[in-house]
Amino acid sequence: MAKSLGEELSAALSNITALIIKTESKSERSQLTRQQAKLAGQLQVFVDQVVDEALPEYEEATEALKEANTEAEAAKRKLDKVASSIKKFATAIDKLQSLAEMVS
Amino acid sequence: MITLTSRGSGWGGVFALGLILCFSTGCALTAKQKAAVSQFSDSAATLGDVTSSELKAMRHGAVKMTIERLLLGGKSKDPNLGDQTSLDRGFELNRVETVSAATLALAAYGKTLASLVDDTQSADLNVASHEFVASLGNVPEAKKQLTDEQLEAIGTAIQEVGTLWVDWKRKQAVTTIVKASRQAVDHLCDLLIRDFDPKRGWVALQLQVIEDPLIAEATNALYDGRTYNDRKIALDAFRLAHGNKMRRTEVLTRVVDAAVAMKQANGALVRAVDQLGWSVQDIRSFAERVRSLTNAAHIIVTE
Repeated sequence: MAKSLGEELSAALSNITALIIKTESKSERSQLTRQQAKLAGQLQVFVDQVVDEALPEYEEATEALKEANTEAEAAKRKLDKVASSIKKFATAIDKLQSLAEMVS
Repeated sequence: MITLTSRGSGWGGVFALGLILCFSTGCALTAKQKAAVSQFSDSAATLGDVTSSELKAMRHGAVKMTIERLLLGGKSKDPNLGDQTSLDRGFELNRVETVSAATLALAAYGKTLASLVDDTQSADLNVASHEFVASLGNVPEAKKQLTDEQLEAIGTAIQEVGTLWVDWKRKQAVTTIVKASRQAVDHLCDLLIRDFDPKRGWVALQLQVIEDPLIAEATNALYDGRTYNDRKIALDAFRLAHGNKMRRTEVLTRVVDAAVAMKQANGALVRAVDQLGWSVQDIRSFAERVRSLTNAAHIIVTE
């Protein structure tokens, strides 16, 4: 499979960094360091383009997951409501009993 | 099981209705299904949280590496690289915030799903049924017609029907949510697999853009260094680059492994709630990958 531009630049950057580490000549290292900065700059431009396209996809994913989470939270609240509904019945019986006592 | 006399037969009817309702629809999640949902949810929450905190650590590392490169080599030799006015170049707040929001939404989804499966209602139902029976016992007509045992039986019936009802609704809710969320979860997994790939993903490439120029300046400083202090400064820079490289190779690999496993597990979870021939293996494998990511993140702590 052919390498993408990003992979090509990444491989070239790794190779030039390895050369800098091995090179003892100061002038050669200076030259390699300048070339490395150019390559890193090109890779940075490539990454910027990729990220610009990717960020809206993450925003969409966040929205979709937030919706799922909201549904799950609503379902949880409904489950928790069962006990409080029974308590409300109990309160209603108490109130009706008080009312009956007042009327009689 | 409770027993009711003829006077309490109305409550018995309600209870029986609850049972019929339940058994005709497959009353509750089985213990195996609950365990599967619980393990999946916990792992999803951890993957989301750890990935988010690792992104923040990468941003922190990017700023430190750019500062160190500027200290060693002076202003950037290429205008596209970070400099004194753009120390967080590549991991700007907007980028980190956007990706982190997605992984945190995944974590929140995992946590809510876990809390939906956890039985926190039994204790509340117990209290509520006791309150109900106490209130009923205060009504003179009811007190005349019902013995204490019958009142107690009514309380038990309410609690059991309540529990069956809650379990039935829980199963419905979990099944609906897991199936409805499948696409959203799968989509985020695909994004993580693509963008966190340690060779091709933009996160790794961005880290390399920052690391490699620092390694070059540290190398130059080491070759040119004449004193212990000169060499120490150079080696501190190497150590900083090394710590961030570990994050690029080890953490990113594990995020991708976990995302691949999560996608598999998500499919298994949908089959699990539908009871369609599923195995817990995919969900266990996801949990193992997430544990591996957590361990790596704990070990790789850059200074």
